[in-house]
Amino acid sequence: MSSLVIDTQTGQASIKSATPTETADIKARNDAWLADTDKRNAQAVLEAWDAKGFTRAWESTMAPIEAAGNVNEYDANVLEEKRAARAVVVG
Amino acid sequence: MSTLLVDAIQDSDGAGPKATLPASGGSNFTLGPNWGALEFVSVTSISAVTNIDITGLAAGYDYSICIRGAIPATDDTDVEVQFSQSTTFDTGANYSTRSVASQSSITVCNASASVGNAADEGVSLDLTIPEPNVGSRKKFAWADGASSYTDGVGYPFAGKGGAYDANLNAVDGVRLFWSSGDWQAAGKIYVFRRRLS
Repeated sequence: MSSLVIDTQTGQASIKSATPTETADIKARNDAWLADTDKRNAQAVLEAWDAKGFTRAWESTMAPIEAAGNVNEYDANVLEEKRAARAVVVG
Repeated sequence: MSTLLVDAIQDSDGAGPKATLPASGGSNFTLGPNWGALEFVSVTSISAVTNIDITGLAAGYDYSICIRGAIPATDDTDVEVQFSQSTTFDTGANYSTRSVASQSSITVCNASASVGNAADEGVSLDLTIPEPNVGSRKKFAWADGASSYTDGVGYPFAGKGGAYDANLNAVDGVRLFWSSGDWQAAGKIYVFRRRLS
């Protein structure tokens, strides 16, 4: 890991190796971005199902059906996928 | 300082056009380093590094940092900014961006339609840092530009930026980096400054 340093006093550029502190900061930055990417992907899953009509309102109508053990396999899979994605988004 | 008095400017052989200054009614002006225009500071080819640190920002200037044709190593990432005070960059949660406080940097490009890492993708932007090296005033950064991330499709953006919230002290450097990963060795970074006097 390194930095391109541009000194505006001289107009000169140079390459500087990252310090241990900077290396730790960069790792934390990359980890945070990966976590954020997971959230964005999960949000996209939720929005895709919403666009197909499998909204929160639909989930509410499914609740008693699911409780009665009468939910079909397709709807059960949708519910499972939405819940998993929501868990990632909410954290 | 000396005074140069002229009433016209023309090339040495007298064959070219002659610019005549008004004898009256004109405004006073002072010959300075840049006559109030943008002053070129530097141009640097972007190399494969993690951070680009622009240091030694002087007092009395706005800065304009122009990135041309930069490409991230990691796909779908954002250009981020941090500031330094007394040559130490602040990596803490002391920035606000996208209307959200307590962030560790300022995002200066599209966050949803961010920057792709293919050869026909990337970003060009103009980043404004108004009077960074002055005390007692809030520090801001924002950028206008365009990026592409999906099969080379371009998305413009304007006014993407935020503020430094830790204190009002002078800032003497700006760090540019991607939300994840390194820069590719592609594109240029130009630095200009505008004298505030």
